[in-house]
Amino acid sequence: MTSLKETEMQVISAVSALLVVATIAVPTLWFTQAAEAHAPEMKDMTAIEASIAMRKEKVNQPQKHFRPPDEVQKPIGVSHDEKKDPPPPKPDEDKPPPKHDEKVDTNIDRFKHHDDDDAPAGSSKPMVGDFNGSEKGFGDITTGDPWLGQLNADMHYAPPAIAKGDSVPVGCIHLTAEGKIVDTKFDVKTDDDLQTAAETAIDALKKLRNDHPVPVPDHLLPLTTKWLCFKFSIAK
Amino acid sequence: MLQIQHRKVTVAALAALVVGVVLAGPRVARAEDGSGGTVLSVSGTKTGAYPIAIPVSIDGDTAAAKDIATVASFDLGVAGVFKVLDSASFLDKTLGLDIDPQKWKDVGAYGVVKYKATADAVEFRLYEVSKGTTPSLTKTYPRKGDTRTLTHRWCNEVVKYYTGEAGFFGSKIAFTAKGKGTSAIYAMDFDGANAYSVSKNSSTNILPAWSPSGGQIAYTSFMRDNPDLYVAPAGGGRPTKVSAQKGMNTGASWSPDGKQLAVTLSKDGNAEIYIISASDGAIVKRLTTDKAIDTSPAWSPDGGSIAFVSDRNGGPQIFVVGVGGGTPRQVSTNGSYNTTPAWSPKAGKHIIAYTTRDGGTYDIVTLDLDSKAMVRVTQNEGQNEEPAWAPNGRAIAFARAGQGVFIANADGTGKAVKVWSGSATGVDWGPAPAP
Repeated sequence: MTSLKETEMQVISAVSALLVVATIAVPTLWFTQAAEAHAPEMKDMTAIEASIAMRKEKVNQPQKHFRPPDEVQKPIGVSHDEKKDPPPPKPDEDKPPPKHDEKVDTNIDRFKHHDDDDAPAGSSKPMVGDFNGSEKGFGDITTGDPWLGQLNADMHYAPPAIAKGDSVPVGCIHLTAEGKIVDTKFDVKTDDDLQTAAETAIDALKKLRNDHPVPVPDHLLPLTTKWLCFKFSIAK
Repeated sequence: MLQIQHRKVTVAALAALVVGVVLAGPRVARAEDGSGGTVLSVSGTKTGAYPIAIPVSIDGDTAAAKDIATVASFDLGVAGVFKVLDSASFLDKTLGLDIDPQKWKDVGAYGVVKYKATADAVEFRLYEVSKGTTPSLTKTYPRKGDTRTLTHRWCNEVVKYYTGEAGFFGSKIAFTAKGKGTSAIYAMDFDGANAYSVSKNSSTNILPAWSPSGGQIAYTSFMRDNPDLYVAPAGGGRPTKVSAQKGMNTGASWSPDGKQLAVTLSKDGNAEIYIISASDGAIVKRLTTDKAIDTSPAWSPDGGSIAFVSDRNGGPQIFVVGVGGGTPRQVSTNGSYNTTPAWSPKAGKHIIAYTTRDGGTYDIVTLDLDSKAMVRVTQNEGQNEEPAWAPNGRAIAFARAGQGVFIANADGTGKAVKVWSGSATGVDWGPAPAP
């Protein structure tokens, strides 16, 4: 067995490295060019959207922080003896005795938080919403109400004695909180003199309340979001 | 298959919704109240006059149009049911016979009369603004007579349309016009136009009474010194003496059939009520026998009763007695002086208008004999006496001392309108005009 010289070993290593590189690179280049030659046109290709699903990091829900329990202070140097009498109370020599004429603040409300659960929620005044033309007022809230009674009294429905017809028109008004009438309409419109009488009455009421508005009381403010309607009939 | 399943789900959901709505029915019904949630019920009564507009036509014969508007406005104004809107409250510049309903609503009109006069005819239209642009009544009259007459006819149609009653436009009123030392029987259109003398003598003529047909007028004349009863053609021809009993032959009132007259005769010394023949004055029946003065008979429209004035219970009061006789019953109870009764012509009603003295003034009142309801027709406006009903009972004519003849609504509403100026008494309203 003859030993190689250092120079010879270096040449052999370089040639071997070239052979290895050529063995890997040549097929790669050859297949790449061949693939490009036979690659389909872009228009014929199908786009596939893909995304990588990543595992979400685990997030813990917010945890309530508890205060650790107070450590029990054990008496130091005193043994527990149930039969032993308690020590006499130590007189508080530093605290002066309370004066009899000293005023004591008994207002405990100032220690309450205003956002306590027992406090009333929201404003005591009802909110006035936007006018909703698809809603109407309801009869159960009108019984005996003086403001509505006056509104009714201001509606002078007086068809002429020889007025023709016996229809029952239904006219509606849109009130504002300040008591003005900004819009009117007829839900039931008839074609006799009673319709004319009802229109006359509503027009007169509108003029009266717009010239001399009477503010809507708080408890009736929801009426301002709805049509307030009047059913016109002839007394029997 | 999938679609069918979806449909099944939808149907099931709808069914559940319907079931839910049905179960919640009472609450929903309460909220909606059957009329869309009405809050307030407004109950009115039909009362007051009917606002109607009569714009002056600016189309066609404008001269005739102005007269038509004037006559129609007066007629409907005294009809007792209309309130004719002041033409200053609106400005109708539209030509033709159409209307814009909303504009008329805006001025407060319920009805609108439109018309157009041409040389040949006058076309009238009545609109109810609630009915839009379609006229409720249309009439065209050829211009054969004067425009006043055809306008009266049109206004009668309007009244009939609204009330179902005949109007009194075109009827006539007779009255006694006082002159110096004389008094004459006059007749005129109900609105004061075309007044003429019926009696045509220089003596004293009083208490005219139209026959039911309107063709004759009975009145008392002193032309032969005694107050005798005459019947003359309504147009003013030669009178015929009907009753010339000794003493008074006064206060004639025609029976509904026109064949008899109720009169006051004093042939036996005291004034009593009699029924006589309208043709020859023959006494048919004596209705009263009392030492008191009985006078001013008025025959009821149903022909069964006669009202008259008697002071048998003290001051003059209104009594009623059957045409067959019997014991008269006092019907007026207010005050101490009630005279000149006149029956309402309204069928089925028993209402008497009369003159009453209230303090120092004389006024016209009506009394419903059935309900005892009394209506004051005049008040605080002069001395008003001798009422006479319009043919349809909607208005009352009367004399106001020293001023003339007036017309007022029988229901006491409105203001009396003067139709003749001068010193007048003894008013009587003629029958309804022929349609």
